[in-house]
Amino acid sequence: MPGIPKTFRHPRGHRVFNRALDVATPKEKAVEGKHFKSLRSNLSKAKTEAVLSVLDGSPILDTLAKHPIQEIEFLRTPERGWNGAYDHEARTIQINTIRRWGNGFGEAFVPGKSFSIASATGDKLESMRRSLLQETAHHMQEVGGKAVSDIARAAFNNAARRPITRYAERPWFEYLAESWSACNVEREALRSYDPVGYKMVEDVLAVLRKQAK
Amino acid sequence: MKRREPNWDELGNIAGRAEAAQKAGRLDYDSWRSLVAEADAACNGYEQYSEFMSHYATSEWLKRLFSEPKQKRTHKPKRAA
Repeated sequence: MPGIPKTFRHPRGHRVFNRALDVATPKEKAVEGKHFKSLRSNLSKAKTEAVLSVLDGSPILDTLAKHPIQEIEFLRTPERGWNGAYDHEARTIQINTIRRWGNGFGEAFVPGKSFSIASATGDKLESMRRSLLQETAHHMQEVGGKAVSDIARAAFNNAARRPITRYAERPWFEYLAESWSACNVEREALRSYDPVGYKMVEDVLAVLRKQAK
Repeated sequence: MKRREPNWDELGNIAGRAEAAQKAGRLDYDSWRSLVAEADAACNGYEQYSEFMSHYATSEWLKRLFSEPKQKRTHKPKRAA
């Protein structure tokens, strides 16, 4: 934004991010009824909002407005320990709210070594936020159709790719989903560690933006 | 004691088989479910890493899977002789 400096000098000498920018450029919120048709949650309202806010200001909100997720459901699935699931037919997302330290979250983030982006945090809610990003990537892949899957498959088959997590190694759609999640939460790490994955995400976003017009 | 990691190569192999079966139109609930079971085993206790199998499923298959009761663990730690 012109006229507003991104950083300023603190009286103690170091540079500080100008929080006024946050006020000047409010993020568009992900809204029920527009970006996702319905919501069910076993979490408190505040926690549900905290998890959903990972989509606020996302570059895919226009895509979601055109092709909304049919339902986002936060629930406990003790019978199946998946962190989340995307139903490609129904276009719904389920996020498991059960997280166990050391098995679902609580890992350090080490590019190429961490098991997954959702597990590479010490915070339960942050892990759920990352799972939501992960499942949203599958929705992007679904609504983006062949154009998106061609980009993801080409990047996946590129010998120079360096998957950002172990889970991103295979198959191609998890390479996309993990790279997309990393792009949201560990952008610089993705850009420097796996330029192929970073470019894939940028190309996918460009296609989605074009399709959303 | 350090836990074993998921068998990432085996998980990739299972994904390849699921993709091939889906392409050939040979993937039904039973074959998909048995691949899920293989993926679960390859996860070495990190159950969440078989969730890529949802990509190959229909809504109905996912519902059936989620309505299954949790299987009891059969593994028992060996006692020292």
